[in-house]
Formats: sequence, structure tokens, C-alpha cells
Amino acid sequence: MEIKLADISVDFGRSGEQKEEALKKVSLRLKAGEAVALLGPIGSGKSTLLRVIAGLIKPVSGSLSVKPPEGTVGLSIQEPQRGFFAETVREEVAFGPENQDLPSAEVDLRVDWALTAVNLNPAKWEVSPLHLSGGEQRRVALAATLAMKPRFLLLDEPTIGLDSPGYQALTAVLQKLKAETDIGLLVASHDPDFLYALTERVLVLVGGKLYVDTSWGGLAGQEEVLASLGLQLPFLLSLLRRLQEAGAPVESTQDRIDGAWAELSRLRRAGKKGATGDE
Amino acid sequence: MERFFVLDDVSYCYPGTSKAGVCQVNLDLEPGTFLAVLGANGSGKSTLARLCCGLLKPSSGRALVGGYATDQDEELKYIYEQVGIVFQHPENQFVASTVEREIAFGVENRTRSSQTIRTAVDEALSRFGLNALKTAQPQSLSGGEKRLLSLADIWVLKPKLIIVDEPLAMLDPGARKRITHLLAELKTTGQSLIWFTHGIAEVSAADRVLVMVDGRVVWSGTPAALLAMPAQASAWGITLPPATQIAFDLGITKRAITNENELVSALWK
Repeated sequence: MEIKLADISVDFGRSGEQKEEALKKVSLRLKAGEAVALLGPIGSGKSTLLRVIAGLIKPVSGSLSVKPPEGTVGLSIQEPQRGFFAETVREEVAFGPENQDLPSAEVDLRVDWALTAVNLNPAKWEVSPLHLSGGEQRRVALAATLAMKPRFLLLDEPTIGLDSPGYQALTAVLQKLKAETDIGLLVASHDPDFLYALTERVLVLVGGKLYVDTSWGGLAGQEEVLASLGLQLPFLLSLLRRLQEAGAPVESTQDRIDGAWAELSRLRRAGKKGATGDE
Repeated sequence: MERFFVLDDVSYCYPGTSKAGVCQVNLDLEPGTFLAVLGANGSGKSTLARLCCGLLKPSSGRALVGGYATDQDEELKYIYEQVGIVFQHPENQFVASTVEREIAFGVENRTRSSQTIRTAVDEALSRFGLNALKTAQPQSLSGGEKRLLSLADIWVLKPKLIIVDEPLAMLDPGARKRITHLLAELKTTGQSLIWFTHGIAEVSAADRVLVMVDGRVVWSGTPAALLAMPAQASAWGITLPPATQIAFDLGITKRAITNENELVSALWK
């Protein structure tokens, strides 16, 4: 599966008299199996970009192609409780697959799988989604999208409202999905640590323009630029840079979180004699 | 010291349920206090936030703001003059057609002086970084911009008590830093702040922290004391600062690590 955007522009005209572009000539190619982070300051166009790819916003110019066209693109929006309408969590998650005209046995299987995958307590499957906490609602919304088995999953600020167990559960769910399927991911978030745990490629949007398209290792060298935009490196990458500046023998441009952890663990093992060394 | 805000054995059960969403919470807040209430999803934080400002009435016990009881309908108007709450979903509270009019709305209900209104609105636009968006429609804003506007809406009214529920959600790191500073400095003007969240990093400047589990307050102390027990805090579903979490994961447990510099020193000296 491939998603291709060529010179996509979107107008919002939200300031009344002035016409304002939410996206400015964005060109981009996303492939199945790829996990991509979308960073950017507040109001930089991240949600708009996701909605264009999901087909919810029509660009004023440029073209979007999704190949093959039957490849499903799933979007989990920022405020999922806005879209809830069913009487129970189960019915909410079943709605999508039911509209894919699947046999009811297959719908049931998918609902069970999706709700288990997002680690929602089965005691809550028969209650109204409106009676759940914010974090639980996020997981129901993700399950509703996953149940449709999208080939490419678009997530808009998926960690908002999640506590530590919910955050870890979501990270584990998405890592497992990545490992076991060739699903593509595009994740917009203000949380670089979550994105680093999940993705290999980073897009930075600034003022509706695609500012950077690189790896995490590539982004590590642009810490000052990010800071000027009000953004941050993932904590682990920042920590490796600080350690390197302090003279520690570490490689600070790690493309993957596993590599960053390996560097820290190696330093911890080798440096115990030089470090404060508490156990 | 004046007993400005008091929760006296407050419990709340949602209609049709027997399980208490909030159970026997006691609190006595002096003016100018920054209180953080931490807990996992579903621990009762948002319910407690609504009980604090009179949006919910206790099933038992009493909540008093400035001496007025939240379960007395005729006293609510005095409570609403003293308390401002910023919800988890900011668009719930927008009423006006532009950002500027939205911020002005509450001030206009307090004063007729156009100069006072103008000055207050301009200061709020500037402090919350919303100047460039002042003619935009509130509903057209991004999630983060809506969050800033909802905070500005309440801040501009200068209530004696501000209650915020996950105020940094949807903000980028730069805005998070700015808003954290702005909220923490409320105490310098004698305003009190109750900040509900599941992450301790954002409330490190709090005078006191309460931890909620299943509707009950299970622990009370300072942010530093909570950071010194990372395993317990994690078990309560609280999100630790990244430096504390990584130190914990690496087995550095002899002393509390709260920031990047301390972690660098612990790993390499």
C-alpha cells in the first residue's frame, strides 16, 4: 500500500477577512509497514494533514492517491468521545465492521480481538462508552478503528488523557501490531517519547509546511532548531546528547529506541566504576 | 488563617450506581495554595474537580468555598464568582464568535468599563500567545489552541480559586512550559490552584500533592516525597518524569532522580 500526497494545500480562512492556509504544498509518500511520527507546534496543521489523508478534508489544490484504492485508511481522532453514539462499548466497536458487511461471527471475533488488543477490562465491554474515563474512551476509539483492520492507521494525539498503565498498554498494543502485521502508522503527537518508542521516520510540520522529513538520529542534531519551535527531542535522545557532551562514550544519534536503551545499558554496565554506581 | 476552601468528608455516587465515585475526601485549602491531585484514569479526579466547584453536589459531606456551601442553590452564584474551572474538553465552554470576544465575555459580565475590559483582554491574549488568533472562531482552532483559549478565559477573571483538569493536554513542550509557569505564579497574587492530572512532572511546584485511588485519597505529601517513592507512585498509575522513570528502569534507586542533570551525573561522572 502507498499513500502519495503531491503539493497538497488546504485553506481554513478561519481568521475571517484573512485567508489562512492550514497546509501549504505538502508533498509526501507513505508506505505500508512504515511507522512515521508527525511533530509540530500547536496549530501547525498536523490534524489537518491526517484528515486530508483520511479523506475528511478536500484540499484546495494538489493531489492525494491511495494505492490500492481498496486499502483502508483508519483515523482515530483527537476527541473520540465526540463520535460515540452506541449504547455499549461492544456495539460502538462493532459498528465499523458491521458496515463492512462482514458476517456477524467475524464481527464478534474482531470486536473481541480489538478490545483485548487495547487492554480494556472486559467488565466494561457492555457499559456505555460515555460512562468511561477519558483514557478508557481513547482505547475504545482505537479499538473501533482497529476492528476495521485498516492497512494504514492515522492517530491524532493518541496519548492524551492516558495514565501510565494506559500509556504503556497503548505503546505495547501498537508495537505488537507493527511487529505482527504490515500496517502503516502515521502518529501526530506532542509527546516525542511516545513517538520514539513507535516510529522510525519523523515529519515536522511548521506553519502548514513540511519542515523536516528525517530519521530520529537525523533529528538528534537539530535539537536547537526544535527548541526554537517550542519542540523537544525524545528524552532518551536528549539524555544521550548530554552524556556525550559530558564525555561519556555513547553514540547519540540513535534511530531507534532499542538502540538508545542499548547505549544506556552499555554505559551503565561499563561505567559503574566511574559512575555513582548505586544499585 | 482563613479557611477558604473546605471539603468535609465529601462522597459522591453517580445516579443509578451504588459505588462511590468519590469517597470521604477531606481537604482544607488556605488562600494562595497550589494543590495537585494525582491519580490514574477512573480514580475519581474529574468527579472531585466538579464537586470542588459546585457542578456536582456531594451525596454526603459538605464542600465550602469562601464559607458558601455547594449544596445550597442560593449560594452557588457566590461560589461561581470565586471559582473558575477549566475542563478536559475545552470546547465545552466556548460561547463567543471570536477568540477576542470569547475572552471578553466573562469580563464584560463583571465590569462595564471598556478600558478595563480592553486591558484585561489584551493582557490575556499576550500572556497566552493568542494575539495572532484574536479574530479566529474558537471552534476553528486546533486542539492546543482551544486549550490555551479555555485557560485564558478563566485566567482573565482572576478567580480566587482556579481548578484545572489536565490543562497541558494537547500543548507542545514550549506552551506546556509557559502555562506551567503561568499557573504556578498564581499564588503570588493570593489565588489558589487545584491541578488534576496523572503526571507528576507538571506539578513539581505544587505545595501539596494528593493521590487518589478508586475515589479515595490514599496519600498526601510534597512532590519531592512522592518522587522519592517511584515504585509506589507507578503502582498508583501516576506518570513519573522521564528522568525518574529511566533511572528506575536502569536500577538506579539509591537516590531520587528528578531531572536530566541528576541522571547524567548518576550515569557518568
